[in-house]
Amino acid sequence: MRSLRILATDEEGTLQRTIFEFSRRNIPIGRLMYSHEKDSVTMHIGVERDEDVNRVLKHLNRIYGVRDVSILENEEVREKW
Amino acid sequence: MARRGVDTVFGIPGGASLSIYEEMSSMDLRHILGRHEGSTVFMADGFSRVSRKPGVFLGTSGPGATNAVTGVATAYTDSSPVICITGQVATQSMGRDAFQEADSFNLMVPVTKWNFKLKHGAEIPRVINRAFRIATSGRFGPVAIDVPSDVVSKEVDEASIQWADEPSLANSSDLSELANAVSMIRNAAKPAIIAGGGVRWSDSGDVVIRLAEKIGAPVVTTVMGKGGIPEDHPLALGTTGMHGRRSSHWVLNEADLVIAVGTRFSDRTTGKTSGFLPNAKVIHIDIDRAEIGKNITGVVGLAGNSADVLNAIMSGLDYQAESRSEWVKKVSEVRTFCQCDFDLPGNPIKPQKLMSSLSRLLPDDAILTTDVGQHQMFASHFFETRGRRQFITSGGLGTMGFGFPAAVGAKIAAPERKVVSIVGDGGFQMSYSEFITAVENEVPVFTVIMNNQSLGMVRQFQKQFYGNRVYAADYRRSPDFAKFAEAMGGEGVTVEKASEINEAIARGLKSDVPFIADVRVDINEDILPMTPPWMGQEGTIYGRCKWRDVKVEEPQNIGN
Repeated sequence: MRSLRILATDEEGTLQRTIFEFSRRNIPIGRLMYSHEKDSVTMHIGVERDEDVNRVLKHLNRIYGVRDVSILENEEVREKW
Repeated sequence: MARRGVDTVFGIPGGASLSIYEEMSSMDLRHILGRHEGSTVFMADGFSRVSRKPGVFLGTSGPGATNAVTGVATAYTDSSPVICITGQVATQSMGRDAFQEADSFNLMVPVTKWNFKLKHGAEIPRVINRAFRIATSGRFGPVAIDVPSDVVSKEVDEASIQWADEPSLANSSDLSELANAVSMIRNAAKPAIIAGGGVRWSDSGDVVIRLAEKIGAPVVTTVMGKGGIPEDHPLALGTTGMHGRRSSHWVLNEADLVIAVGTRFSDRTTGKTSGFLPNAKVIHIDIDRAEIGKNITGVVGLAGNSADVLNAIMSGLDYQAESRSEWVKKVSEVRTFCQCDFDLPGNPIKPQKLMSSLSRLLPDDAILTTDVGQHQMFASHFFETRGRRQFITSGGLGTMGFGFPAAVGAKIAAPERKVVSIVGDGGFQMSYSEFITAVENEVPVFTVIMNNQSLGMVRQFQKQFYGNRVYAADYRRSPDFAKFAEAMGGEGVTVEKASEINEAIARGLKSDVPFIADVRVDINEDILPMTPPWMGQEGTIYGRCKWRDVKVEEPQNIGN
């Protein structure tokens, strides 16, 4: 399982928008962790397939409120066109 | 909103939005009172697409918001900067399943670029400013604001008001592949350009044409890109895609380089992707980085405003059209071959005949809106968007009922231009309650109903792909639309013979009240050619199209 770490503002809607982005791209979420600290939230979302990580990455990055998306485990994955 | 230049609001009030309406009543705002929230959002959307400014919708809580969702989703899919403001039950009632309470915030999440739920009156100016910034920065899109009734009805301490505007949101541009892209263009023998909806939103059609002339590249458009460039230009080949012109398909098959501008390569554009652009490398230009590589992979991506990116490309190129004169000559021959005579005579009226007449008689700055279905594809294929003509359609979500209300919004944005709404009888009946809205507000939109008393595209699919079993597609009864128009305070005419079309169009264009031409067309005339999205080009159904006689393996003989 590959895991994405999403850092975002704590504005209402960021969590829903992030989850909907997986649903919209038809990518099942295998694991979800959410924590809220001060004015920011951190989400760890696990997905099964590597290609799904690359597919969803750019879409997560364009959500307003999302500050950073990184891929955990193994090597850094470069955004591929 | 008034400080941001909003002078028109499209809305329907209700219990949860009355405080806002009370305040608006003393303002110098034009309020267009719609009949259904979904259609009223379409009006705001049509306004946006013509003015390139946010169209504002104001609705109430619960059903006001749920009805609006389809309109907002339509705007989202086509990147239209609609601002959707809905009332909400008072904060203390929220979560108690109060009367007209719905979770409109979460309903709007998947169909908006961003949305807000107001918590305090002091934040209203900041949220409004931010909503407008988000809607009109980068790739445009709708923003929704949910407004609990108590938040706007309480007095707010002047000192606590948050006026702070936010700086413009920077476009996330990436031109790191610019030199590579310029080199690819230099080395291409047969370059071509696809212009998508992004070209229209960024108003960069003239830059596209300059690039095309400079490098000797034909330009094809997607349905959403139609109207982005003038189709009477010698390098313009018309729309591509499922019902597109075969000349456009030919160009994309032959090209060794395609510069795709502001298109997301939807399935209606590409068909079966494995057979799309068989010989071409692709430079993909889009303001939304997430679109680059989404549906067509292995591309060279340039992220940014299309006009800026194209100008950057051109600054690295010399005039190259002469070196590609053979390619340009062949393109010209194919273009000529594809200029078929579709002024089909006889009765019952053929849709092609109607489009031919509209194409010939509408002014060069007319705005044409369509609904969704056969008429939409007939218009996309056969109506020529020459000059300053504009083509407005629900291309992404494919929302029936969009066409007429969008025309009302378009006419309000550009009252000096003729606005014609071409609709099917099915789609028109989904939103024709707004005809009285047009009459009441003195918005003289000309509506042409391509009436085959059927859901024509459904019927066509059942004929072609479901064993010719037409079921639940044809209406057994149809309104008398001309009498309907008169009953609403407009004017109308029924057109049953081809010889009556020109006079009806002349009357519609001259009318100073909303006008309907109910044109009874041949129910058996399908919109062809057609390449089903699940099939390759070998599955194309040609019908009358003379490309049926062109052998795929001998495209070089076209025009010879």
